[in-house]
Amino acid sequence: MNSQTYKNNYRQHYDYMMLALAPLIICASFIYSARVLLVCGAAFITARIVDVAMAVIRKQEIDADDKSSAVAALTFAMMLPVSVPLYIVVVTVALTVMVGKHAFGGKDSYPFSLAALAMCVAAVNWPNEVFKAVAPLTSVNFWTGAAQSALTGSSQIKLGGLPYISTFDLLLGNHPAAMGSSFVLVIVAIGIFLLATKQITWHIPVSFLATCTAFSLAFPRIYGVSRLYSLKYEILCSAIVFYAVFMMNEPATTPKNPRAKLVFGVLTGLLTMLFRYYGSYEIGGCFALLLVNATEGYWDRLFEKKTEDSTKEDKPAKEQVKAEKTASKHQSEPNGKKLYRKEAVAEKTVKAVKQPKQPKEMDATTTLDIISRAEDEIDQVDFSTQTIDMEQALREFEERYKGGK
Amino acid sequence: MDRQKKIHEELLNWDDTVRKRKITLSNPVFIKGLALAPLAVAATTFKNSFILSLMVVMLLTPTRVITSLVTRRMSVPLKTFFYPMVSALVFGGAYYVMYKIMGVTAFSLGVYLPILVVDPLIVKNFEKTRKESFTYSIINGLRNTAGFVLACMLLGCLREFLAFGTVAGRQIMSVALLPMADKPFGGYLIIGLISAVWSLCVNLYKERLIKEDAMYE
Repeated sequence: MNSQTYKNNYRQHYDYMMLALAPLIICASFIYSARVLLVCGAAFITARIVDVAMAVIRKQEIDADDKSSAVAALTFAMMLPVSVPLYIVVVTVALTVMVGKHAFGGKDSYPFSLAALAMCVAAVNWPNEVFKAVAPLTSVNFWTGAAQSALTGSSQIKLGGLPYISTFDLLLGNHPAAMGSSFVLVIVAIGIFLLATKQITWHIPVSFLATCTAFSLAFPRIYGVSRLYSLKYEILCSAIVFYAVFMMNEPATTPKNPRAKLVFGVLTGLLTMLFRYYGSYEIGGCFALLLVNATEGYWDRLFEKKTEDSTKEDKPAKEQVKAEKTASKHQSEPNGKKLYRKEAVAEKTVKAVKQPKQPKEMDATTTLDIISRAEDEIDQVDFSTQTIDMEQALREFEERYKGGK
Repeated sequence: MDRQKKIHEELLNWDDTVRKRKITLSNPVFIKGLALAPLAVAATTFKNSFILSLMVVMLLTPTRVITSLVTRRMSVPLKTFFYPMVSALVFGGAYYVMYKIMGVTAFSLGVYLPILVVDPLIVKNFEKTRKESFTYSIINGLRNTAGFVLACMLLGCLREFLAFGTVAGRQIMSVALLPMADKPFGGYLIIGLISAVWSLCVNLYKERLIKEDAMYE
């Protein structure tokens, strides 16, 4: 799929993402109680309300089809624990949509992934609530979210411990984690669906996952066990697969060029692992994504330029342009003497000065045209809010249209 | 009739009106964006904002008056050196007075109090080639000070409320609405939001004046 088609399909992309999030929400509701629906509902409604409010404030048309905020809000909700207080969800989503989206121009113009931004805001503000995981099938208070907390696998790795969760449970998401980011099998299936429907391309997810895998194999964090054992927990306990499928393929914030996408994925993977290894928070992927989002345009420009330079079909065209440039550099005079461009321009200027152009006489059509243009301009003036000095306006009008300009 | 004349004059000399109203229409912080670093980092609570404001009260107008008197015949490059020198000298005295009033609390802001010496809020005027009269320097200095104090106190109270749920140490809410408000990036975010709202208000005010003026005519 070429980049232009990809850009034209922004709206369709968000529709598919909404569809893709549905299985995760259903799985999470089954495993972590119906409170998941309450949290998702709060995030979704807040995003829509803020979108509408910002459109009103910015005096823009309300776009009911713009689902980017809603998708980001639901993606963000999936990274939270089921016990999260509702005010955290509402405040974070409102702030993110307001500052992260509308301050940068709104729909399709924001440079940073909204879901990642929301997660970072929540993590910095309320780390205790955001990183408090709940074990599956634990009873959770529907309104307050009060529940018994449990230690996640990635927290155990961070603390230097040795987690023990069966591979099957890791794949099914049957371990203490965020609401929707632990169902690895479901997420992979959704990823394949999105690839098959051409809503995402393979470049970013594959390069990102490959970099994370290589880094985990090269520098294992769990000591005394095999590298593969460490790799299993590094990849499956955290939300790395979730980042790869849901957060790193947003068309507005990722590069369009395939090679730029590969670099984008590798860079995000590398920074994610560095943040996870040396950072204070478990959500290294979100911080990494925000950082790499800032370089998105640069990678596109760099690789588009290189592709253009190295395309063989362009060579004849380039040669032609070069030849034209050389020809225009030398202009022949009647006596055969060649002049360089500067001299030719100087010559032209001298001629123009010697023979000043006579102002064109206005014919009837031109006059009518000018009058109709002036009438149009007068129609556009809102006299209820503007005061006009008529004499000054007439003088300006005369100057502007003197000589049929 | 008086009001009509006043509005008309205000609109005719809009630039002057803006220049004179440092507290509202050309607030040094929310409209001009001066002294952002100390405010974003240090004005996290009512107490910190009060210390910052007190220092600016003692620093801004005296620096401005002294420099306006002394630098009348100086060239701009010389002024560039002279302005911070004067403000540093004034700061020395102000710091001593503050220490006498508040004790060691005056040191609680660390480097963000001395950094005011070179802040554009205090030394920006060295760029001006026009001579400044003694009276004008006092009036303008006081206006700028008032604008800064208002912005600083507003920001301090709001950030304290959002970050801790308190205002001037008194508990208002048991929940902290936005704990990041006491961090520098939270400070910048809040300053940005307030600036946006402030600018909107200024524009609305101007629009209202234009409409009112048109109605009278």
